[in-house]
Amino acid sequence: MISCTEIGPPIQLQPEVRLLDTSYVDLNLPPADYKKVLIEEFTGVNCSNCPKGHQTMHDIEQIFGDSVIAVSIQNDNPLAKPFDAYPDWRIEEGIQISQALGGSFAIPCASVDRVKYPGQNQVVLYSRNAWKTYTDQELHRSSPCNIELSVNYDPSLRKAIVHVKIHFLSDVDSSNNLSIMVLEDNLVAPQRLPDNSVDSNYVHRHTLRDMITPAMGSTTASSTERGRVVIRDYEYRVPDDFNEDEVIIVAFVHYIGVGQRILQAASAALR
Amino acid sequence: MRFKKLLFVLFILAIELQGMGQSNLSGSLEASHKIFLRDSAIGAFGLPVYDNLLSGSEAWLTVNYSNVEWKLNAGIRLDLYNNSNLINPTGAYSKVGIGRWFVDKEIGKLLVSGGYLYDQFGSGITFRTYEERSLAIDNALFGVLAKYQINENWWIKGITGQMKNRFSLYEPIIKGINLEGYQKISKKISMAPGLSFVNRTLDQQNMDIIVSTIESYPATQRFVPRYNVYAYSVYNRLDFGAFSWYFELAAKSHEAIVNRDGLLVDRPGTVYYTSMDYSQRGLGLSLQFKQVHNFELRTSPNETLNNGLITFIPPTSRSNTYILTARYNPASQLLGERGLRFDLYKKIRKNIDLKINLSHIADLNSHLLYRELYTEFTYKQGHKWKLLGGLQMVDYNQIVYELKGDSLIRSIVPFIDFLYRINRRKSLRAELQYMANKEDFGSWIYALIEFNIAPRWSFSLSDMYNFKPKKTPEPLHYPTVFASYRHGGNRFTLSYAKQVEGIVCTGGVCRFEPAFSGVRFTVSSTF
Repeated sequence: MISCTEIGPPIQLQPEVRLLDTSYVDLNLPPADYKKVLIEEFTGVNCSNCPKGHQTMHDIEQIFGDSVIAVSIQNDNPLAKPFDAYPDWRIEEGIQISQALGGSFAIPCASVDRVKYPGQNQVVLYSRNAWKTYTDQELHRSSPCNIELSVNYDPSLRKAIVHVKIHFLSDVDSSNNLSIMVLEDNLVAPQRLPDNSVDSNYVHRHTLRDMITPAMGSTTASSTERGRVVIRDYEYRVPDDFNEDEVIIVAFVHYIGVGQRILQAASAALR
Repeated sequence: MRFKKLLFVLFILAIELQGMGQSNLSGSLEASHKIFLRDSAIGAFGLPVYDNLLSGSEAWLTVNYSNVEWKLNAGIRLDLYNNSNLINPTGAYSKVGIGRWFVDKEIGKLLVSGGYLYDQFGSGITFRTYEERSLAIDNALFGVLAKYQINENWWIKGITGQMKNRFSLYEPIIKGINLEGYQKISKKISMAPGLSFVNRTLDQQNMDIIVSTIESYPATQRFVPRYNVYAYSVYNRLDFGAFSWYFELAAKSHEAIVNRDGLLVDRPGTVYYTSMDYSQRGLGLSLQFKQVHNFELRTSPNETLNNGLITFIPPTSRSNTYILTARYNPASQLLGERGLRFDLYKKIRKNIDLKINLSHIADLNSHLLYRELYTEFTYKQGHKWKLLGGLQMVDYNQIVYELKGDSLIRSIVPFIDFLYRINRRKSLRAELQYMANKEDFGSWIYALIEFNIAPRWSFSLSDMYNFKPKKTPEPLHYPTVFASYRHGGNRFTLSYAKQVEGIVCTGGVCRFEPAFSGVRFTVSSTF
């Protein structure tokens, strides 16, 4: 169909539901937590090169342990289209993140803390060597905030209360947002391999399934000066097709727009 | 290092080209150096330039090349800011680089330009790029312009690029097209109609900020923002005898703009502007009407103040030159205003002129924003002396224009300016102004004495005295000692000054200037 009508950006027209949303200043600053790095890998079930990307992510997790939080995002690249009769793990928020970071053009690619490195036209890195190099680099940064993340889950109702507390340890520009992702680990489904065959029982790690906040997050507070504490509680109903034992909640604080990058990240298992 | 080599190559090329065809090399230098002297009494303290840095400079060096035979023009400008408080009056900015370069070439009926371009469509409502150094405005479009002369009377031009942001560029893309012509209808009647169309497309990063902002609002205030905004205008100047009538109707499509409460809202915009002039020997009349509604046209709604402006709304008020009459200036209100202006110029006798100006600006709910009555008479006694005097009465809504202070400031300013020619070369000029004002800083007296030795020297001594202060515990003086020397194409000035904080405006575009105390040296040169 031919049309020149503009298609607007994805946007949440209904606000996220917060059980608690409060903010105050506490100048009794805790010690700074170690920096955690978030790697968002853009991947596709029909992408034959992507298992190499998965292996690189696994290697990085082995080297850096829980200092790294890995997320796999099935995006709007044609190679992410699912196999017939298998679930579609592409979600609107993941596609929006992919488009914002430049991850839709070619996969596998990954963003390290959403930093746009020198010489890059986009945030995502295509060189898998660079994922490890820049992860190491970002781990040496100090973080201007601590994040406490905890989850209280009621399996009978499949309801989780996600509790996030951010404590800013130094003045931070107020254009920073909180994003909360819902991942599911160890999903078994087909994946195309480098030799173009299909492994029907491939184990897909830390796949983005949903977001509790909008794709690009929501503003933490109108002022995020040194000592500012932001506390948010969210209620989240875990969909019936998610394996509760494999669900991981990831929360991170990040700048948006020009100069975007992730300031700190945290993760917690659902149960 | 790369741009130094580029400059050197361009310079050598220009020298070589100078010898070819009918070519010409010209240029200018404008430079300023300030020494900041802290004065806590007038508020000139607590800023880096007063407390730590103590001095700052700006300079603009322009070199232009033109070759008539080749129909080629090119130019380059070096901008320098060293601890300059021009860009940010409360900070200090340092950067040196190429502020502008351009090339244009005529190929038959087509003129092609590339580089940093200054241009406008109609009166500038849908598109205007220009430089105004006193306001630190330089919104040149970095891109390409093509102008085609359709016939003797009609031309069409298109432009595309990104807007300059200091030494970098704003990411959004701007495109525009403008058609204009001239038609002589009869011996005394002619018209110059035009059409313009402008499109701005947001980049993803700006859109991400907009989306994130909207998503922090309650559900009832959320909307889907747009990447594209379209602005268009139709305009015409009709000259018939001694009358001239200009009108411009502009509109823009829905887009996210920031309202008076600082919230993003989805609104279209309109501007209606018209002026009627009558001019004959010894008499000039002008009547102007303007209405603006939600015409915030910028590179992105994330920009504020004078940043990223694509639109230029013609001012309704007059531009005043005497220091106390220029104290209160109404910046064009892009979200909404309705203005009416009347000007009269009358040569009463050969040596007596009279000017009257009335301006009235209100918001779209008819709340008064600005009102001015300005009268001025000039009397010349041959070539020996000239007396100018007048009265200004102003009502000024300080809350709207400066986001502070009293709602309505009412000031009355009588003034006189006397020029006496001692002989062919020497002259003496004196000014006296008085401001009666019960609000803001209170009442003022201003006096100036100026001695000129033409064509080279000028000296002046002035004082602006806040004798009935409302903001300081004691009356304060703001003196200025000034000297200038001109020779050929060079002019040098040296001054010591204390200046009160205030709003500086040019053409309805304004910005806040903090108090200044210090010494200023300037050089301007053309070659």
